[in-house]
Formats: sequence, structure tokens, C-alpha cells
Amino acid sequence: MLKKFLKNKVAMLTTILIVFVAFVGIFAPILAPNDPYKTDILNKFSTFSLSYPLGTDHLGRCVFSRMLYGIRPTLGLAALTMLGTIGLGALMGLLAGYFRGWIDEIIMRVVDVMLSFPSQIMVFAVVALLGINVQNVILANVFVKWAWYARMIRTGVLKYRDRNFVLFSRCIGNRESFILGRHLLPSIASEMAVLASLDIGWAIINISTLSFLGLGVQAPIPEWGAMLNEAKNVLTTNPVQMLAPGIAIVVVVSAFHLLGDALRDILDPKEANL
Amino acid sequence: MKKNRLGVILMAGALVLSMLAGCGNTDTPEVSSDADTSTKDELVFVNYRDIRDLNPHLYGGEMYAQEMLFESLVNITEDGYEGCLAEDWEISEDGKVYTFKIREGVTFSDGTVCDANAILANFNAIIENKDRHTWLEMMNLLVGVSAPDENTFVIELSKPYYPMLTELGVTRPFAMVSPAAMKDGSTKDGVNEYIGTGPYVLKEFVTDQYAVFEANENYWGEQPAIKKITVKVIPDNQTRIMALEKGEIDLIYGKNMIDADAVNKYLDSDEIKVALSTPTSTRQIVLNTTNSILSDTAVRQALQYATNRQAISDGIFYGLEEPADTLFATTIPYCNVELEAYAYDENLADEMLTQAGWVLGADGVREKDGQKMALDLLYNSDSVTEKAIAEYLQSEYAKLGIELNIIGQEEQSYRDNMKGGNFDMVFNICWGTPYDPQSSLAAMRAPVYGDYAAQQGLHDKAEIDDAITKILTSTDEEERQELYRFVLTRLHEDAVYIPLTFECNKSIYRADLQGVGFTQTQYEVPFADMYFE
Repeated sequence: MLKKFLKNKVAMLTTILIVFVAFVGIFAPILAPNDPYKTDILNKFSTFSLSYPLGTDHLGRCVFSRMLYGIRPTLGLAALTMLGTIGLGALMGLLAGYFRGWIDEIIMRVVDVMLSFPSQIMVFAVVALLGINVQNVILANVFVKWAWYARMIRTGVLKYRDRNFVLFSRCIGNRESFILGRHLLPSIASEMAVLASLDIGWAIINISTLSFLGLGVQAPIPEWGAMLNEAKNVLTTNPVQMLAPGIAIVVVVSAFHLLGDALRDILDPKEANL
Repeated sequence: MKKNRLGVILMAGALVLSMLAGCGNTDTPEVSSDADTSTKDELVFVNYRDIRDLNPHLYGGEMYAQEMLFESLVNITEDGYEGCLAEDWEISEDGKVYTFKIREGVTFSDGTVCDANAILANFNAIIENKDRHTWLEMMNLLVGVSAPDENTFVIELSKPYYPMLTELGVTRPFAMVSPAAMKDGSTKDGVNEYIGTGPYVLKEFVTDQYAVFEANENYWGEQPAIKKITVKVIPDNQTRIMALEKGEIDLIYGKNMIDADAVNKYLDSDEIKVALSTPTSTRQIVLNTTNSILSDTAVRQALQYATNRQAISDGIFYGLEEPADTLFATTIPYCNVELEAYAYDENLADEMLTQAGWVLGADGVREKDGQKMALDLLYNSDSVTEKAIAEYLQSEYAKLGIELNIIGQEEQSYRDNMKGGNFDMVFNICWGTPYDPQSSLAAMRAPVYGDYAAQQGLHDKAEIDDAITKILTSTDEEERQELYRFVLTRLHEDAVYIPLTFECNKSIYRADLQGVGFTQTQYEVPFADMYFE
């Protein structure tokens, strides 16, 4: 599989890009030319220069430095969201798929209810109820998205639960937690990985959207969606402002989507037979 | 698989193109209709929110629209008072009895005659809801109103009251609505229709979309040149500007509707003109003195010193709004009292905070007795500049170890929270002429806006309120000036208000629109003076 991965150009390129972006984010304090919070109000909207590679924003802050620091909340929160979503979804999916019966019924009916609501509206509702801050945004995203994963993972579990190795494990009296954790979870891990990478793009967009609407990351923390929102306020007078965060979001989200696509191709047994 | 993806991209591209084409198509007919008419008499105006409840006896409607529909007894002009629905008036020598001669031949737009009886009906409806108008001191002094005959209307007060005519002349609540539109002679629960005597009538409106006003054919005064005004609701500043550029709207007008960058952009434009008024009111931040951190006068003063007004004026407003040193400009009547400005001085602020016991903690935020120096600053997210100022102050105060959390709320909830005192710091304006200084000060004595709640922590609050009450009924010029000096000095030294800049009214409009100007009150849009070339 690794060989296939290395052969797939899209997968390689997007992975390199994403890892590069992540590293830039981690080392932002070293790489950033300026303090992302330092305002210089008299020098606002300045154009590209050596000291400000991408110019300055409406308060005279260095856009480039803010972009670099902005990777942290953008990627970090998206990753956290995915972790939470997959964690909860996997737990529910495993329980439902393995135990079947009334546990399955309850969990799956809840999932049905969750899936019947449009997810964006649900996110707004949850954020509105809990109040505006970053934790709540993540909670809201996890809350609306876990059901989707639970269903996918349950299907995966169903495939494996009657396989011989699971039956054998059960026969020799292994505990159920052992079967779930050591047999079923690893079996569905690759599928989960694909799902996750496909959806991390969704998480980034969602967090940026909420920040753009003023419901997510709050000023002055640099976040791409929030930066886009601030750029929007000077759309007609300084249109250049929105280029950097806008392009960055598009590129990173596209990278995640393409990677997910490529991963699916790689893992798809049908493709392999061709 | 590959082919599929290409197909999707192609389709997406086609979709985007068709959307762009769609945008292009919609504005063509409007451009051609512009060219057809020789003299245009239809104006498209824009506002950031709906006209809402225009009942002039309450405070829930957009004031520019109320000014279009309704009129009061007198008008306030640059040179003083001018008759409106009252042709003339007399004030008794002791200053307690006002006798108005009502203009003859005026009718409401539903045909009802506007005589002294109709005006009496209005006053009765307003007085019935007395508790709602606490900011008007005349409500407390009122003895009675009467209409001895059709053309005479009399108001009696218990004491002489110098801002009386001003209170009668402002947009609300003393604007006249047709008695036929009242609900059983009462207006406190709303009116059936918005019927007034003004130059325009409201033809139709769709909530949060648009409102259409047409010239009132039976208007007693001069007919306005603009016959039809459509007000569109566009909440976003940039969308408004683009609509103006495309010619979808003709005029953007108002203090919080246009940011300095937009004004700057059109200063030299041929197609779009800019008009700026003289300073109208003071943009300020109110500090809540009941807050455990801000209850210390030294802390409040330190915040004054920490605020760089010049940088806000130059940086955010490109100098369009002058920095303000005092709550009221010295040009406001009675307000030319020598107050020493809190000049920007970071070191002094730092020193004062340290002396007050707030020492820098490990995380760069000041602390005192385990409490962090973290304050919330509430701003109106419908305003185009408050957020930028808030963000600027946030970074400035952070340098001094003050953590400022900025919270934006749409206008109504911002006002509700301000009134309820749910804030540490909040953006505010003084009311501008003709309300300054008497009405703005009078309103500090009751929960009208944030002032009342904010001043509750002052040890001399009772003394200040008392002086304000005395001002309103004082008859001696010198005594009045002395009292004003006392109140303004106390408020200044107590450092309840951080004045920022002197706000001005702004307007940008299509070049073919003429006569765009500003009136005494900053809340009115003088459509009657406008015409197209």
C-alpha cells in the first residue's frame, strides 16, 4: 500500500504540501517576520514590502505573519474537531455494529435523527445555545458530525464481526473490550483514515466559516476565516486584503480533498484489480 | 475517475461563468432607465436595517423615516426655532405658559384636519405613556395641556424650563400622528397606520427588504423635488458601496453607514460625491463604574491616558474625525469650560496602574489580589468603524497589560445591554445637537442609555444628578453656566467617559444628485432639499 501511495503523484504532492503547511504553522514564531498582534495604525493597508511581505491589514498588522500564525488555529482546530468526531463516531459505531440488538437500535435511531437535520443549521443552533467561543464551535462540529461516522463505521464493523478471527477470539473467551479494541478497530482503521482526511477539509471550511461570521475564533487571534471577514470590510477599497487568506483556505482545503480522493483510489480494491 | 473529476471542474467553471453573466444582465435595464428620464424624481436610498415601528410617540422606529412622515409644533434650525405645525407662539413672562397658534389648513395624509384638538389628542396619548419618556424633564414639570379653541394650544408648566421648545421640536415623541390612526386615542401600544402631516407618505413596505415613500400631495409646505423615495435594506457596508457604484442606489447617508476608507476613495471621484458635516457628536467609551476593576478612579484615569486619540483620528479616520478631549465639544452651548485633557501618555498610565496595585503578572496581564485585569468592550457590529477602533484599543491596552475582550452585537441587543448596564466598557455617542448638552445630561439620571448604569458606582452620583436637575429649571444664565461647569468637571475628573473623536455625519452619493446637506439634528436626512440634475 505504501508503494502505491508513493506512486500516486496527487497523494504525494498534497501530503508534502499539508506537512509543509503544518510545519510552517508549528515554527511560525521563528519564520514570521513580525509580531502578528503588533498594530501600527498609521501604516495600515501598506503594500507588499520586504518588512511586510504581504502588506499590512486594517490595523497595520503584518498580514504575512498573521497568515503563518493563522495556520495554528485553522489546522489545529480542524484536526481537533476530526479527532473528536472520529473518536465519538468510532465508539458509537463499534458499539452499535458489534453488539447489535437494542444498543444498535437506540444508537442508530439517534443517528437517524441527527442526520435528518441540515448540519450547518445545527452548528449555528449549538453555538447560539452554548455561546460564542472556540470550544463551543468544536463541540458543535463534533456534535453534528459524529452520527455520520457512527453509521459508516458500524457498516465496517458489520463486515468483520462474523469473520472467523473474531469468532475465534470470542470462543476462547477474550473480553469484549479486547475484541473491539484489538480486532475490530484495526480492521476498520484504514477506512477511517480516508474518511478523516476527506473530511478535514470540511472541518477547516466550517471553522473558517464560523470565524468569518464572527461565531468562531475571536479577535485578535489570527485565523484565516476571521482574517477574511476583516478583509471583507474593505472589499471595495482594498480588495488585495482578501487574497492571502482566501487563496490559503482554497489551497489547503483542496489539498485535503485531493488527498482524500487519492487515498480512496489507493485503498480501493477494485482499482487495484484493473 | 480522472475524467470524472475533470468533468466536475468544467461544470463548476460553467456554473461560475453563468452566475457572472447573470450578474451582468440584471443591471442593464436599470442603466437604460436612468438614461431615459430627463429629470429624475425618484431616489433610491439605503439603510442598514428596516424602518421598524414608525410610531413617533415611541422610540422603536428609524428616525429619518419618522422625520419624513411626521412633524412637530416647532422646527429647530441653525438660527433658532421656526414654526412648523404651530405658526407662532407666545411664552408667558414667568416662563410657565406656552401658547401656540396652530397653523390653519393643515391636514394629515388621511384627510383628518390637524387642528388644536388633534394636537391635544396627540399630547394626551404621549402623556398617558409618561414613564416611557423619563429623559424629558418637561414631563415632570407638566401641569396640563389644553385646546381652548381650534387654533390655540396651551401647555402649562410648574416651573420655567429653558429647553422646552427644543424638546417639542425633536423627532420624538412630540410628533403628530393622525388621531384616526390611534388605537382608541392611545399610542402606547402602537398605531394602526403611520399617518402624519409630513412631506412624504409611506406607500408600502416589506420588512427587512424595502420601504417606499411618496410625496404627500396635500402637504402644506413646499413640495419636495424628489417625488418617490425607495429605501432598500442592505446591512453590509461593502454591499452598499457596490450598489452605489452600480447605480442601484443613489445615496448613502449616516454616521455609521460609511467608513473613512470609502470616503477617502471617493474624494476625487467624478461619479460619486462625498459630503461631510461639521462635527455632530462625540464618539466615546463609557466605563462602568460598578465594575470591580473600573470602580477605582485611578484605573479609569489610567485608561484615559492609555488611549491614543490622535492615532485613532489619523489612523482609522484619516483625520476626517478630530480627536476629542472632552465629553462635549467646546462649541456646544455651555460646554466651553476649561477642562484639562487626558493627553496620551503610556508611561503615566503604566505608573498609575502599578500604583493602584495592578502589577504585571507572568502572562503579561496585570493582576491585583488574584484578579486579572480583563475587561469586556461591547461594540455595535452594525457600525462600520467601532470594530476597528475596538481592535486597535485591544492591542494598545494589551501593551499595558490590560486584557480587552471585544464583543460585537447587532444594534438592538447592543443597546439593550447598554441600557441594562451589562457591560464593562461600551461604545456610545452623545446625542448631538439639539440634544446636547441638556437632554444628554438629563438622560443620565434615569436608565435611558448606558450612562445611568455606568455612573452608579460614582460616590458623587447623587450630587451630579441633583445639579443636572437644577440646570434644567434654572432661569439665571450665570447660575446655569456654573452648574454645567460643575457637572462637566465632575464627570471629566471621575473619568467615566473616554472621549475618542468628534464624529461627523457622512454621505456619499451619485454625482447627479444635488442638494445633499446636513441639518441640525444628525438623525434626519433632509430629502426635501435634494433634487436631480
